[in-house]
Amino acid sequence: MNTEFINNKIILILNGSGLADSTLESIRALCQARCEQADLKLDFHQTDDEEEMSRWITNDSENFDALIINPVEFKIYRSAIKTIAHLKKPIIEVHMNNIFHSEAGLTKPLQVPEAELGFICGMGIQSYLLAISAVERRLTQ
Amino acid sequence: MKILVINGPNLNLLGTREPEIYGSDTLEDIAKRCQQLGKQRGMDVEFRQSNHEGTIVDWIQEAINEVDAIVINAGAYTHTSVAIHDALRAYSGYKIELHISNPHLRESFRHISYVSPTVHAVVAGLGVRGYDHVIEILPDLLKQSQ
Repeated sequence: MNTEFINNKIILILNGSGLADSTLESIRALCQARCEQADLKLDFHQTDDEEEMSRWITNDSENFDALIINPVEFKIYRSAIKTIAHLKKPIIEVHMNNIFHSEAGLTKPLQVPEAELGFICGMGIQSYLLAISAVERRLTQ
Repeated sequence: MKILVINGPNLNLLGTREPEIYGSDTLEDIAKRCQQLGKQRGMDVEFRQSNHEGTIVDWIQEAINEVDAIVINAGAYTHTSVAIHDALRAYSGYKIELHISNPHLRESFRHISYVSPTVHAVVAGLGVRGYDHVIEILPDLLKQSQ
């Protein structure tokens, strides 16, 4: 555990495929700055492999206190979320675009009633920053 | 900067109705926080609640060209109201749909939202503090959308 963080809390942010490298780097930098401000440690990853994302969720579940996930168009990670739902860790699904606009395709919000699951879409990079604020409040309650 | 927060049916019961889902804060507690957070950011936050669909439609229409952003928690009208959908389409300012709980984790009749396709952004399942977070981030969102 890293003692330089007062709360010793770790946020895992996972990203699916389809985000441009430059976008991802901007997201990472802004999330890093916001987490430092909130005294949270950030673990930030991206993968094009949906099964790898599922493994990160289930295998790392002991090593994060909150999960923020931009699945882009990934779907099968739902079973991974189900697997960790009983841990009652805050999980927030984020999308940069509004997935309910007709041009946005067939992405549907995650439905795992057992999980503590928030949802944010349509705010661009701010979707992530709002999620970090929500997690910060939830973890310091 | 003027912000209109609209709350739909049954949200006046907040704090007493199913507190395990919606929390113990009353709508008045939330309104006070939003107004204060808005003030600190140079925004004038008008916070309203109605159980009546037509009243909500009137408020949205009156906001056209008058209000910079609408934050709407339409409650159960989210899942039924084509009239609110149409009014929101007519309002061209910045729009955010907000829910205290996450409708997609609840009964299937809450999985369809007539509000979502009309707004810029959707926030759900962050509890009553979702209001606070949305007001806090609104200045950045308005800047970003310009």
